[in-house]
Amino acid sequence: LSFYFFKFTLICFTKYLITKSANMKKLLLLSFFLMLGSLAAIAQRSLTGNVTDEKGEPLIGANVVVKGTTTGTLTDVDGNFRLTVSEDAKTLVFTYTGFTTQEVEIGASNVFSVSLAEGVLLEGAVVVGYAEQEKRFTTQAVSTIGSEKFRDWPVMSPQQLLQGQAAGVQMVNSSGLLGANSVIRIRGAASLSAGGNPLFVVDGVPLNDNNMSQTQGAPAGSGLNPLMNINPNDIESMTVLKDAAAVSIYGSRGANGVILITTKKGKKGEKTSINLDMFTGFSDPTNLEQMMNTEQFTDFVNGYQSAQGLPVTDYSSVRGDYFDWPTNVVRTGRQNSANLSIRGGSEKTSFFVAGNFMRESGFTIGNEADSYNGRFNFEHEANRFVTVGANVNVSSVDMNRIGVENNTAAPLTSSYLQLPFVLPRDANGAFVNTGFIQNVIAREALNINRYNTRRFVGNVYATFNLAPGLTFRTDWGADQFGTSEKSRTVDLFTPGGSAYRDLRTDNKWLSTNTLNYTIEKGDHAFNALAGYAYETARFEQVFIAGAGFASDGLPNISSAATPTSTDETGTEWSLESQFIRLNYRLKNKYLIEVNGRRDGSSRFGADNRYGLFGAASLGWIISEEAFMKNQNFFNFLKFTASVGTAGNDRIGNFTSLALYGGGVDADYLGQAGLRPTQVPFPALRWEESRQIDLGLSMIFLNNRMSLDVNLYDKFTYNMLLSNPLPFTTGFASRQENVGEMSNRGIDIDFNVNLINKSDMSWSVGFNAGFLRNELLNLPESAALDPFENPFIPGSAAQRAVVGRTINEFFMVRANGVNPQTGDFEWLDVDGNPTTTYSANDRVYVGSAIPKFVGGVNTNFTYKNFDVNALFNFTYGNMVLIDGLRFTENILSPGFNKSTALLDQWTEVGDEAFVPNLASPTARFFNQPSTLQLQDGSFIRLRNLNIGYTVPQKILGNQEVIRSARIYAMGQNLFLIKAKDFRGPDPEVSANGTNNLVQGESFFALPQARVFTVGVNFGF
Amino acid sequence: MKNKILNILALFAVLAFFSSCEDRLALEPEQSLSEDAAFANAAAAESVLLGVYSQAQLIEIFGSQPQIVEDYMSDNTNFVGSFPTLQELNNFSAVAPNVSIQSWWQVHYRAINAANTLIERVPGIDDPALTAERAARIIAEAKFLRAILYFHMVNLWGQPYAFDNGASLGVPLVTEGFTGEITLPARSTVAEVHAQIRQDLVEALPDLPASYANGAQTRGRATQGAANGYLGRLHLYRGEYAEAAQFSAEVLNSPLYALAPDLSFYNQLTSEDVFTIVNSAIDNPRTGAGGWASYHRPASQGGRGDCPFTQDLVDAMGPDDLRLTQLSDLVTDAAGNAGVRMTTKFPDAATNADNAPLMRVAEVMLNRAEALAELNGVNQESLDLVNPIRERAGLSVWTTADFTSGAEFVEAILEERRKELCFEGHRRCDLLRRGKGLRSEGPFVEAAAFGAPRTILPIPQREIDINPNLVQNAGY
Repeated sequence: LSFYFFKFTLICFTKYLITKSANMKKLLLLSFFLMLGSLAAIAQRSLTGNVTDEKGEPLIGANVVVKGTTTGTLTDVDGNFRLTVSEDAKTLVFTYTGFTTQEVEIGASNVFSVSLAEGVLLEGAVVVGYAEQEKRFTTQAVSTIGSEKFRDWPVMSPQQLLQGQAAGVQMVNSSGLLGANSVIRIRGAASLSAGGNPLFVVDGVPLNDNNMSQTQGAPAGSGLNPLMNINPNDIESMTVLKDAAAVSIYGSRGANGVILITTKKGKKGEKTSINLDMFTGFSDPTNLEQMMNTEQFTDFVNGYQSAQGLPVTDYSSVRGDYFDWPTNVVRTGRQNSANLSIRGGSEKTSFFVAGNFMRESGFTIGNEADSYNGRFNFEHEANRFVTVGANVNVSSVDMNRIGVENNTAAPLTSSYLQLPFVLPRDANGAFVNTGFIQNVIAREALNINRYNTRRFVGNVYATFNLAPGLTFRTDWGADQFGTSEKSRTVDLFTPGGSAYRDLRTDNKWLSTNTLNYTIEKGDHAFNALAGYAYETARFEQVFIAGAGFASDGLPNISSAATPTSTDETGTEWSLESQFIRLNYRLKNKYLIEVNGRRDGSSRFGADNRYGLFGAASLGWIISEEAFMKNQNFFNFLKFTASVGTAGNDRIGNFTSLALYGGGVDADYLGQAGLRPTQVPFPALRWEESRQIDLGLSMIFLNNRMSLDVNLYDKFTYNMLLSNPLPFTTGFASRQENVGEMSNRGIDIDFNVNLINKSDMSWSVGFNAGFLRNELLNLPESAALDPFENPFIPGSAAQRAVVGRTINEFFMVRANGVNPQTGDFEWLDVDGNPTTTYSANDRVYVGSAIPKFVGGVNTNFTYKNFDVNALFNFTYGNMVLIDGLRFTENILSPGFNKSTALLDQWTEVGDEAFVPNLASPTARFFNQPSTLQLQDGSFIRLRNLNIGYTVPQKILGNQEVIRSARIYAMGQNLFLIKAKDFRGPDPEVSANGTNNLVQGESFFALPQARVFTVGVNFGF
Repeated sequence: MKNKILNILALFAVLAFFSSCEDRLALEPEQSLSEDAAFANAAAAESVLLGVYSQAQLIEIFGSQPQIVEDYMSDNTNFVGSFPTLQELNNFSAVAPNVSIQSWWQVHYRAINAANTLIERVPGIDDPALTAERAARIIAEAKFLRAILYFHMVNLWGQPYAFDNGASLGVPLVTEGFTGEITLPARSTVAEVHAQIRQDLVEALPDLPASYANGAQTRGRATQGAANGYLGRLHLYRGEYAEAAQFSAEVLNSPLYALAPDLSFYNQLTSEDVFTIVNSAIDNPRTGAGGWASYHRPASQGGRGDCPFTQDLVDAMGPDDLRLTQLSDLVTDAAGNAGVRMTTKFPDAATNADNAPLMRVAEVMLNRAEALAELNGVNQESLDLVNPIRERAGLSVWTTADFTSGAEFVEAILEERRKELCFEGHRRCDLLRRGKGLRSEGPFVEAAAFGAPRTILPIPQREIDINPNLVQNAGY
């Protein structure tokens, strides 16, 4: 009976594994036969040993085989093995999924300690939409960034882990501010004015990404980071879905690409392990502008005034005063983090529990964040039919925020503009009000500017094994996001003081129900997935404000004499979807897959409510062909091709209707009013992207190198565009489906294991995405530029132009100071120098879209040391440092100036930056021109990480500490940028995720340079 | 087994597709009404009308920004603030992409479109509560608002009538509400815009009430007095003095209006106010852009301190003028200059609740006095109109003996007008309409000369780019 039971269990387990992973199946069968084999063998020599990864973590289930035989075994949960071999056995081969195979000579010793290096093998599972697939057999273009790629990174937001790590993914930090949102473009922008961010899905729950705060702190328009509440330490992997085959199953939300975040899980039968990670660090800005001191400023202003015949300001009373504002609003930022996780599992249950605390203070005064994060992931096999589980994350982030960067309440912005003789305190030491350019030191000391978020993201699920190969999964998820913002300005800044409070909630729930059927028979393997999902979210906001407080000691609005605002809003959307995936594999080398999704959305009018999206893909594993069997170069070679569609629904909730709004913007004399707020466009429909992808994936030179190359052609049509209307219509724009756009490019991902020995390894990875964006078509109503090309204006300086990119800078060309005359010169439209500044001389001067972006990472280990470095680079884009129009403003005496203005023309022959102050052109010097437009190419050492794993022998025989590691890390250690680049940082995006305005900055905080040291203990 | 699987699949498919439910996708907005609902009945239409007034409150229209420009482009204030787009205007170096100018243009047409839509849709409302009289009054108020919006625009973007009798370009005249059909109107001439303004005001006159039951509304909403006052100003700007004098008299003959006894009437809604845009603490604070006081009050009081008096104005007023001693103080401006003079006509920089005094009795009196002086030379009625204003300011009264010629008398009235109406957004037009340059000293005298291209604003570049029928003003 017991034998029967054993056999039954084995069969059930094996079949279960077939559905999970054919690879695991092979391992298991292999181990089964190995066990039989080992029993039969004649025991002549007994070998023991331990197999670990480079970090010293035991590898469970690693394969140990005598070369050229079937003699072998698997390592146990502690990575130990015991193997009896014949006397003539010479070599042991150690293999483990995802690691480079290692051969070790059997010498005199009977004890082996083997450390396997992570390899580039195309083995294991890859997460795709609603499922996992074997990487070997997938026909989807995806990039996976595993946790090992961002180990020890002291980041608050998981997006930052993507930078430079995946081909075709452009990630731009919009600011060095804590919690700033970042711009992510997967294979270029897929839309003009609908939302441009990819869809983030955490364990199957698509995250809310509504704007959850007043525009402050982060650059206007880019909002706060939607992933701020996700603990990077909890992430097992991030998968970027890129081609149509991968994204079409996300239908109307797939066009911008999808990023699937999978959190860490326990394993069944895994011994409980505890991991404690703590780090501390400090940060400072990578770059600060040089501003004038009092003497320089007053001399400059007086010099300009007398040169131009203006009344000369008498600065004699303030010439003795000087305060260096920029260095006084900057400080050394601090970071501290503690992360504790426990994972393990019994025969039927697995779990992962983690808690994280992180405290961070930014390098500008007033910018602080504390985050608390807890996770509980759990799965239990109730019986052989039913498995239930849950992934639950609760988090809170408490921040002290600072003013928006294009506002003089922002510390760094204001410190640059503040007149150098203005002092923050009077003679008695009391703070003073410095006027419109605010006393930011007093602001941060006296005002309250708090922001708190609470977030619950999680799902519960049950999987039913209905029949062999057939499972049903029902998954109920929620993203409950609440934020609270409190601002209190003291009497010094607003007489009587003022306050506001802004409470927002964005609560989503969804249900995803899928049927999955897998069957393998002989040469045929078939998988079908069908699903039904319903998702709805409600956003609510309560805003109250008051003014006039009896005392600064009264923080709350109930003490305000005048309630200046009471506001409540609410809005909802819902999405209902059916989707299907059919996947067929013949002889493990011919692959075909079809994906389809039908989405119904409340965002669109009744006439165009439903959209159909789909993709088909093919794969051919060439290396499995007979004619490839005789070559040794390729270990694996796969060709894939896909074509399909995905959509974009990010246009707000009721965009197609003509609307009249009320409230304080429409009231008059205490009576309620209404005003037109939106113009109708009933024909509004889905925006779609059709993408063709050709991919080649190969592993070669004895599994040492891998290369993935994908060519794509993404064609976006029926674009949702906020089409600018002439203001004479009474409206600024309306949402229409207009225009077509193309993004073509090549993604390259190359990895090599240069050295792969037991005590030393060195691997290098390189990835790059080359992109060519072109706007193909706009409606006839679009404006025409002077060259008769239709265009859509993005900002004052850039536009989307047919025949060019969607982020084309259109500006007057600055020609510099004429050494003979001392006049500043621009180039007219024909390229002739002129001393007259005119907007009619604007021409196209480059694009904000880089020609390529990418990264280089390298990992080197020697004995117990490891070194990781990541560089990321961007090439071929222009960036507009718009703040220079202020800091390099000659004429205004109202704010401080950059020391760059000291380089003035004074006599014939001078090669100067600034024209003769007497020249009439001096007044126009700072008008928008290529003077502020600069080459945005750069390469940056994003991370450098050095670690030391304490050897087992030092830890000794004690049972408490299983492993120990110490590490040191530096972020943004150096930056190579264009010569003569003026501005804080070439990595800019003041307008955040707005696709029509990229590559512009306005006093953005430079990136932080961060140093951390940490320890990691396993118990 | 196969059948069982197929059955399960089929059941699932049926469930998935039948559970699909349109209701869950049919959601309605909560903060807005459809256009049809906004014109469903009389009460809603009244609300749309108030929405036009509400937009007129905005900083881009009568909320101070264009008004401070009128005073600093001319010779009443120095602009010492940090906003480059405003500073450019002070230096006569503004360019067509100037975003401040662009937003003024935008918001004016936004309000005009709401007025146009009202004028078109009110007659079609089927509601017993909407009597013919009430409908006519709503339309008349909308026409009044449209008229003063166009008047404001043509003064900013068009050369004064005196330049070439209104032959040069004004602004595009849009008199129909936007329903989705994009039109690309060309600019009408100044004379055509004036004709439309006059037509709207004249048509509105009979249907407007003389006053409202609510006293604040009598000052803050369109009345016959306000329409007559604007007609008087329009004709004055055109040099049509007989009509200017006559429409002004219509206002002054009404018992609703009288010169306030002293200078404490600002923000009080007294009989001094012929038409005032009334602001409250909830109207502006959230815009973050500020209001009148934010420019005219120093940082110590929550403003920016951008617009101190010019020395020229201080000198013109003299030390004893109560409008100097009672309506200004010595403070530190945005450039850090201490002891400079700024007006206290708009004191509330905390919530920017100060009213916009668009038309005061004093102005109407000065309008009539000037018109009569042009028609009749030195005359007693003009003196009787100006003298109460001088007396209120603590100055001596004039007699006919003080003036040797009509021209000298007109100049004196204009100088009195400058002192009375300073900071209320009149100065630039008052100089240009009389063929005078905006500045009489300093480096920009030439750029500020009468008829010089940069004394009027550029058409926003965005509009030129989108609408090929628009012609840019000379010099931009």
